[in-house]
Amino acid sequence: MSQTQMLKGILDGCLLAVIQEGEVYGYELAEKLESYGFEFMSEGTIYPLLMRMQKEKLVTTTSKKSTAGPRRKYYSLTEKGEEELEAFKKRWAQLSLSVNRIIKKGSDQGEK
Amino acid sequence: MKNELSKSSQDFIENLQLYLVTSGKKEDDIEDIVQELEDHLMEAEKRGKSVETIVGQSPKAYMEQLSNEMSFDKSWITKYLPMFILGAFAYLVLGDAIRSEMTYSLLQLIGYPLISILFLLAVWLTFKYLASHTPPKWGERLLFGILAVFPIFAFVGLLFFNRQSNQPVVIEVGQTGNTITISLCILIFIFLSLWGKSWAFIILPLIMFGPELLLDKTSITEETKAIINLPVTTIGFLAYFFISAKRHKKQAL
Repeated sequence: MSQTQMLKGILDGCLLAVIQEGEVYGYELAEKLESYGFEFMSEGTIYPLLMRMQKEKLVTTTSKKSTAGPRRKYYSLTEKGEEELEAFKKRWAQLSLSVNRIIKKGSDQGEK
Repeated sequence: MKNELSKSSQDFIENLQLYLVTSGKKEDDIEDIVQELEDHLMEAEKRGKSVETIVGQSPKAYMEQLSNEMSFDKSWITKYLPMFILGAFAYLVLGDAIRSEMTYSLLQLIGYPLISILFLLAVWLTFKYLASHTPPKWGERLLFGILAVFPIFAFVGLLFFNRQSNQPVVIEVGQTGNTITISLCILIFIFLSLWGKSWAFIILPLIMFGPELLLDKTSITEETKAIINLPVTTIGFLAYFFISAKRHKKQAL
């Protein structure tokens, strides 16, 4: 599996988590992701994902006038989005636990 | 506002717009994502980022990704295409009706619609191609040149071949038929301009056929008519496109 494929589902969850922190617009969202260390992907990647999440009613948008001039789309979580985020957190905890166990075990054995 | 964007970002936005339009996406959806990306690119450029950091290595792949998430606008098939066919039909037939030359062979009956559809297809393919490829300027001009010349050659060619091979006439419309056709065509143009909220559907046929109709009322010889008609129509078209382009620019500002 390539890095991008593996990332897809995880990215969805991360977007939901960042949006949960508070209403954001596209550029802000990309910057926040970057500040968490997601620097390897191109910033535009978030838009197709946001579109799909909007279609699946995980996020809603409100259009607000920005100080700079153009109207901006702000994203926030729906109830369904909150639920999906909780489910993702559980899945991720389980997955990272299992992965860590395997990796750790491997390295532990190596040390012995 | 657009002027703040760098050339490469502007190019990307324009190509994206074209790509999505030629992919038959909804106008509102296109406007939404274009505005969002414009805003993003502007913010990014303020901080010295290049268009690649946003779009990635392959703009084409990115455009496809966006396109995949957008739903197809069915009104292209249910609304725009029938309107185009109706308009093209009225346009083609009106000239013949005015000249009382409404006789058609089987070859013409099949050929005219076929050429129209082929032309439409060629226009669509060209724009679709240009949205995701950047040929050199001369290549682009050549493409548009071929595109513009194609229908003229095809129609004239068909007409010529039709005469040369003495195709039997299958439909012949008489004087009453002519009058009915002309009124019908005018009704179609009025309907189209109301539907499209644009004067273009009335103005363009007026430029095309107006001078001919007026000249017919005078007693000038056929040759002089033909000589006057062509430049008047050409100037009419140029004036129309010049004025509407200017208006469009004003609206954009």
